[in-house]
Amino acid sequence: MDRRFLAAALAGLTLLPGCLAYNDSCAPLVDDPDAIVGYVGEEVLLDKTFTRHDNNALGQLAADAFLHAEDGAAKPTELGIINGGSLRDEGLCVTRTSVRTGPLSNGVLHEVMLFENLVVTVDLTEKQLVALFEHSVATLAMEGQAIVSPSGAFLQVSDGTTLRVDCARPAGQRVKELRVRGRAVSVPARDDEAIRYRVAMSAFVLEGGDGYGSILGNAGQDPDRNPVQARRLGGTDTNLTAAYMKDTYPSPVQALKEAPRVVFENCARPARPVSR
Amino acid sequence: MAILLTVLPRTLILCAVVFVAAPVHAQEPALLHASPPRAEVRQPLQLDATLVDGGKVLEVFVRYRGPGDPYIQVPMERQYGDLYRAEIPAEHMVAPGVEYYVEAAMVDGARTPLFMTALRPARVKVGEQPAAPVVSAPARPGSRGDAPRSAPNIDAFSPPSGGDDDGDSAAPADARGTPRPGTVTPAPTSRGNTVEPRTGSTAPEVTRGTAAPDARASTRPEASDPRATNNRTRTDATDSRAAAQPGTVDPKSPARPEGTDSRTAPRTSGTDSRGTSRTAGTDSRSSSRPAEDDAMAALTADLPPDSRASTSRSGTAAGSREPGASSRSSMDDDLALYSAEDVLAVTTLQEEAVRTVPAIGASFNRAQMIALGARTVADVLDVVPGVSVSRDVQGFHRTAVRGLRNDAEVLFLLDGHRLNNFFDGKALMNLPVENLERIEVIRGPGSAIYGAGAFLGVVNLVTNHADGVRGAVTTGGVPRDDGRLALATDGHLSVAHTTGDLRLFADVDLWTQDGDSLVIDHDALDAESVDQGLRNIEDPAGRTRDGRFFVNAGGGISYGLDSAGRVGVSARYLAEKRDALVGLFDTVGEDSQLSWNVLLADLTWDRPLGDGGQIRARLGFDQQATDRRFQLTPSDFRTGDGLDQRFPDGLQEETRVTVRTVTASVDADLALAKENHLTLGFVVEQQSLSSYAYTTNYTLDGRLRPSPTAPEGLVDLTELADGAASRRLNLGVSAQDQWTVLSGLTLTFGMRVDATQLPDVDAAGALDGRRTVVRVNPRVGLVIAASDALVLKALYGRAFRPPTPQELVERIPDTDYNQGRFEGNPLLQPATVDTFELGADLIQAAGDTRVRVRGNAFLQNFSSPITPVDTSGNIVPLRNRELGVRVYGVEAEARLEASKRAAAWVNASLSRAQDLELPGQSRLLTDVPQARFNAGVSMPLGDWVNLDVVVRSGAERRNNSRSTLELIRRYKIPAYSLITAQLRSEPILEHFEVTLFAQNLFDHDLRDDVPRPDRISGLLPREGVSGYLTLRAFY
Repeated sequence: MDRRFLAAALAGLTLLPGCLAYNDSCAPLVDDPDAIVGYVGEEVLLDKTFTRHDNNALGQLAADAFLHAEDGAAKPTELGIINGGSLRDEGLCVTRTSVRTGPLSNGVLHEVMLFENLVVTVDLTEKQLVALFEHSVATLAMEGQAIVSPSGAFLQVSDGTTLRVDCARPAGQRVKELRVRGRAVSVPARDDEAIRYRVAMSAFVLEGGDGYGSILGNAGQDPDRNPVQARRLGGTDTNLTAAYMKDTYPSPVQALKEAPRVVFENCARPARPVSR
Repeated sequence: MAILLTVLPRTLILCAVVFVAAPVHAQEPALLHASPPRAEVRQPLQLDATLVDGGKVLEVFVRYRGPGDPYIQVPMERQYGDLYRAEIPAEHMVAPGVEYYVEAAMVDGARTPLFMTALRPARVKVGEQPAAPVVSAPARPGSRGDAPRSAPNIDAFSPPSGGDDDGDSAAPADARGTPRPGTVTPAPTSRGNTVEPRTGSTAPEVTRGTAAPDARASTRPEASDPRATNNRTRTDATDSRAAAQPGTVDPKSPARPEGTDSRTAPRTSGTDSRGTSRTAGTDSRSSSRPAEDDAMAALTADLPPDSRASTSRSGTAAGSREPGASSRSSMDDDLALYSAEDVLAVTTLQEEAVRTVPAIGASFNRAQMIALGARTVADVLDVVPGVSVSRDVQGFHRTAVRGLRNDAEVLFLLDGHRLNNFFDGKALMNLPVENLERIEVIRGPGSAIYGAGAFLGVVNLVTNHADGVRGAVTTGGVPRDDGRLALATDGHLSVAHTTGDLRLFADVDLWTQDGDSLVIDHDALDAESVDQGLRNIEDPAGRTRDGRFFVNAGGGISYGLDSAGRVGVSARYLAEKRDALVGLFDTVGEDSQLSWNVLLADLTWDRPLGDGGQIRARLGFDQQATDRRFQLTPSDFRTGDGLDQRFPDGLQEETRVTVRTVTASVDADLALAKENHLTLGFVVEQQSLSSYAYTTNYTLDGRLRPSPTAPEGLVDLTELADGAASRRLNLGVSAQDQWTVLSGLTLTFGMRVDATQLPDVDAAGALDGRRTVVRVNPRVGLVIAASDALVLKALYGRAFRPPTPQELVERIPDTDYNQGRFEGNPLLQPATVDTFELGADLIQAAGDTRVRVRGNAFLQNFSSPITPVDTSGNIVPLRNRELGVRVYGVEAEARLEASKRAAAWVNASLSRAQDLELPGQSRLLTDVPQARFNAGVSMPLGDWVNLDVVVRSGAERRNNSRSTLELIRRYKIPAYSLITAQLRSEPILEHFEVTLFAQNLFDHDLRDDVPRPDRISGLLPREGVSGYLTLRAFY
């Protein structure tokens, strides 16, 4: 009889594995993962050194999308920024080291920008703006040094903005030149509260993520800074980016390519594959 | 599938072993015999038995004794076939009873116990149960309790197997009022038999059938003059014991004097969560048993201190002192023969059988812990169904209960005194088991008796205070991969003594280990370390360090103050110094040092009440000081080129925290009616964070400080908002009523109201004072003894836990090097859990083989649980998960005892935990094994050696995906099976035991999870094979 019990116990046991369940980590993050959102004109590398220590086409795409998030508003946005840490290579199931030339699917875009942060447009003072970029480039490696654990705080910038960085200078004084929408920003910044730049960024950065808290303070809550949260498409960075890409890079002819918006002087540069 | 492939093959092997083990008992002679529960006065008692596998048996003897007498031997005569018969002469059949056991003389001259042993003889009550005042005090022969109710009922020939006599006897024996006949008593298990004798500490109950399965319950109603008798009785008892022993011819008797007091001492403090309350229990029991106690005390004099007093039996059987219910209690006694049938005091503050306690629990006594090859509490917890123990990178053992793991949510008690640290909820719980009498584990909220913290589960560690001297030394170690043996040695010594009203105990554990050293290939500083030339690119990031030095020393004294009750004072000091297994978070810090000092002190008083209840009071104090210094980077690490950016000892941080708690509690057991038992409790507790210091040897911008200093911006938690976060007053009122409506039906209603001070915040979210949060936690339990073989339970309970000060307010300035922290959030609300449980417990006997099957299903709903979820990669505030977490599952266990030395057990659990805040595809919480399977087998190898094998298996684990970051920090820990095997001697020269054992015998590569699997990609390697030799001695 004892064996009967044991047999029953064993039978029960064999059922155990069938009861195990795990999350499907490969489940796409969007309903239409295969929908093409646009075309990439050259391979975009996603390793941290490329998203956080160099210009990056997808980062620039997102920054441009932010820039246009509030198109039509009374006061136009002058600058869009996205932190390099928002662009990920982990992928859902497999590490995605690069986005190949050609069509970019909605699923892949959501894997690369998978945090789904909200986008907020807000007024910043010149001081804040410069401090923002100083922080962005503070930890860039100097020429000759290895790029190790680049900081996710590095900012990719939108079209019309140029940033010239000299890594030979000490942190805090590395920004040599900054032009926003063609308008030169005084470096060092003038201490004038009246000089404002309308900047679009992710709520993550605005709320102090990646060490921006001390620079941005409570700009996100200050009515004087007129913070506006994007409403279109749920207001998330990825959706806005997808929509912008659809409009701007709809074909292999009009495909996304990286632009030299941040100009690096005396900085280490990631080694690109030879084929590129 | 993975688990199928990985776990099952081994499982099947094990099961094969189990099947093999079942018939193992056939190798040794066995006796089929049932002890009659009661016999008539002055009538010879005829004992019949069937000898099985008696090939090597030369002769069979019965050794019996009357109260206070030495054993007398009579041969069992072979009648025909394998039937043997002996007779205890009429002149020895006097009240209150006789005890006997059966022994065989083997062909090789050895003597083998066949049925019970000298230490744990079978007891036959002689004469009628003294329903009315009975017999005079030191009743030696002559005293009688006339009018035998039932004739000696010997049913020696219960079917050897398959006969399932259990069913019948199980039946409503209550109706018959006759003691349960024909119970086939298995060969004496070292564990089981103790049960009933131990019952009434001073007031032993007489044998099964004697009614009063629950000494408390039963005695309470009629306790005549508790106090007076009580003390006298105790004294007498002690004396009689003393007298009994010297006179004992049986050499075994003095062998375990610990047994002497097994009734009193172990209970004195250990068991009970309220310190000496146990003592009171004892007293109250004795009080209600005036007369025959003294005599029976002699009988029980030398019982070993097994934990499982038959007091164990619950309120369920409360009414069973009624003659009509006596068979119920006899069944209980039989059940108690299982080692699996152990007691829990943690649920109701009184020892109750796990089987009938209104909670889903488990209890491990010493014998079981030894048979598990367990060295530490963690080893034991890991075989409890529904419980998994893992380690984290800092080296802490983390206990997961039913699929969830949170340090602050499993309440650890050491002799009823909370071990969880007020600041962070962690408990220094991984004590060596040598000092423990038993470990009680409740899954789910324990009971209405415990307030904050008894959330996922309750673990009560009960130290051994049995009289005698016990020592143990274990030495062995882990073979490291460089060929060296990492030594591990621990020693234990404990002494306890009872003299009259005075009881003393002292014990010490020492533990030292070098620990395993396993390779960590990658950490977060791979690139920097290589770049700075601190190591070569092919070298690993480092190795685990697992050195540990641990001391556990305690002592106590208690004194009976006649009618004023018993006062006791005890103190314990725990100190641990160890390495961090890996480091703080995502880097190897081989020079990290963690120390933890705990001082516990208790002043207790308890007194029996006139109605058989008792009242207990406790004043407790504890102080915990932790000092955790983590090395965050390798030595000589540079954060830049500057002179002050080189760190010869690496970047380091140190957190020193001291917390204190003062607790005052009063609780009372009241017998409202015969079958209604009320426990009331009131507790006031002041917890405080008396010092907090966080220092680093680096500045926020990564420069070396001349000496470790608090970083800029760090808030002193002790001064925050005038101490709002660092002091907490808790008030708790509890009431729990156990009402045996019918003999088989017990209802438990409990209610606990807690008022807890938490920090308050203003509109801006800043701390500005304290508020009091009131939580009401009901508990309802229904325990139905459907038949003697089957017990059903339906339980509901709610528990809560307030956030810890760490969760509320600790904010460490963020740097690149000290990551992995969450920011305190003063807005956190207490979390609550509602638990629904259904349980069943079934016993089946066939021949001398018994099987217990126990199973339960549960559903737990957690509201606003506090769970650290990294959502952004930045330091984020903790928060309550608003939609809660739901867990459901089943747990089952089975135990088979084939003979005294052959047993097998299995348990399995399956749970599913879901975070309801998430979309369907990422809802499951899978970072602890959803399925666990544990099994063990103990079997004799010849006359002197036992083999124990234990298998622990767990299903595959995967990262949770509650946030995007968790989703992309992927890991998969394959299913595992770990095997512990040991060879264990039978007692040598009555005083010694030797055990040789190996943990993780096949050196399975077990890994645990790390918080950053993307950085420490090899996860956390756990201990490989290790081997030990233990020598235990007891006097």
